[in-house]
Amino acid sequence: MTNEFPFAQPGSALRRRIYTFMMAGTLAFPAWAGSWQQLDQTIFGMDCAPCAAGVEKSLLKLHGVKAVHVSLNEGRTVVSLSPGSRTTLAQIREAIRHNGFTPQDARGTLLATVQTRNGSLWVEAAGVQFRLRPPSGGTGIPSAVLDSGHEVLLQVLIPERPGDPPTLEIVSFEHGA
Amino acid sequence: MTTRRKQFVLALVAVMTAPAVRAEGHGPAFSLATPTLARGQWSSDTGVMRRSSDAAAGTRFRQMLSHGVTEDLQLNLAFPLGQSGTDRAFPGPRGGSMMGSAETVEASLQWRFHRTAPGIGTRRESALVLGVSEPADRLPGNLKPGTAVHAAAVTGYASRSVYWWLGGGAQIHDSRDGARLGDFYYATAVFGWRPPLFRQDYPKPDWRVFVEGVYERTGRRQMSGIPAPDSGGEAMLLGPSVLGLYGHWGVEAGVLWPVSQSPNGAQPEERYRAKLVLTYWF
Repeated sequence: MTNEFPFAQPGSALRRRIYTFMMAGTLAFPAWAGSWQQLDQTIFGMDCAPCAAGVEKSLLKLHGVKAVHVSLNEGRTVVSLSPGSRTTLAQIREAIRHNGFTPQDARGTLLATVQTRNGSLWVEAAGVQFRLRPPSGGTGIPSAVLDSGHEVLLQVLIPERPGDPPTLEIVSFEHGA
Repeated sequence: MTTRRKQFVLALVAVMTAPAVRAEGHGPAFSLATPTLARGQWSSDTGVMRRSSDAAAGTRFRQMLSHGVTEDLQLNLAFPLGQSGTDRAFPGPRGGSMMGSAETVEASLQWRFHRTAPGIGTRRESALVLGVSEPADRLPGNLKPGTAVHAAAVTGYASRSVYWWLGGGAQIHDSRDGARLGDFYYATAVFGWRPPLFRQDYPKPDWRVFVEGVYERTGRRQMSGIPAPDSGGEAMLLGPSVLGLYGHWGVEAGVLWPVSQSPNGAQPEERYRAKLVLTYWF
């Protein structure tokens, strides 16, 4: 009986290729790598239906973008991304600028692990490292979660100019087991 | 006098040229406006313009392809699909980026050199336009005018409820074999309004109405190096237009009526100018 799936055969070339690819991916993305799940980006200057259609089309071309909703009256776009999407915030804002409009502050949902470094909190999203600013007056993220390797679902505010290093302000967070 | 020659003579006295480069699709029908395409975006405009005087009428069909080189720099190429009546006999007037003179191929660049976005749905911006047109064919009477250069500037404001633009420009013609079209100078003003009913959110249809005003001053044509007495003059036109947008489609229609006319000679007066354009954004 012939096996229809070549990578299931012991020692097949395809299986070796897949294994090599997975190893390369593991090395390219550190264990604490995260990704954006949703970005709610405010846009100034967008006034007409073709403007919205152009923004929608540009954003849908980006890697891992599942859905785009554009509102002219609210001046914003909500971009939903697949888990593991490598699309960065900068790419989303650049796509908006290429349509002739001005991205402003944004809100984002980020699934990532949080690390501490030099007394600051850090996350990585789509290959870009961000410093986290805890909510003013808040308790911050429990220390048990930090550097634990557990993923945290973060709601963050992203200023128009995130700064250097780019900084995100935590609005809320959730963490599982 | 043959019918074709009569038509040509009628055309010569009927036409008082009306220049302008306008942003078809996003903006008003007859007036200068600032919007440009997104970087890498293409659009197609297919349009018809009819112009009628007391003595004759002309219709032209033209096509324009546009490309956004950057979000602030747009390249346009417009060419004729057909002409009839006075438009076949005489290459004027203009009627927007795509409605360059009849029987001409025209390339133009629109550069939005200033742009600010002070709030949601609002922009203040200014643009420059530079174009070159070349007659595609000889006209009746064996006339083939020279190359024309067009330059214009426009500034304005766009929002979800109100629009306005002010602009002006000039088109200068070269002479060829003693034939030269009159240079023209113009100014445009437009006020636009999106009724509350049509301020629903994307992807619902998006409609707006404009009131457009155009002032034109045209110099005398030259035939065999001699200025034609019944050519050129001044005119002020005013009228409404409407722009409808749905997704990647746009349709605009407008009509202008003369408010005042001062021809240099004994030309018949223009009665109206009407335009219809269908746009698709790729």
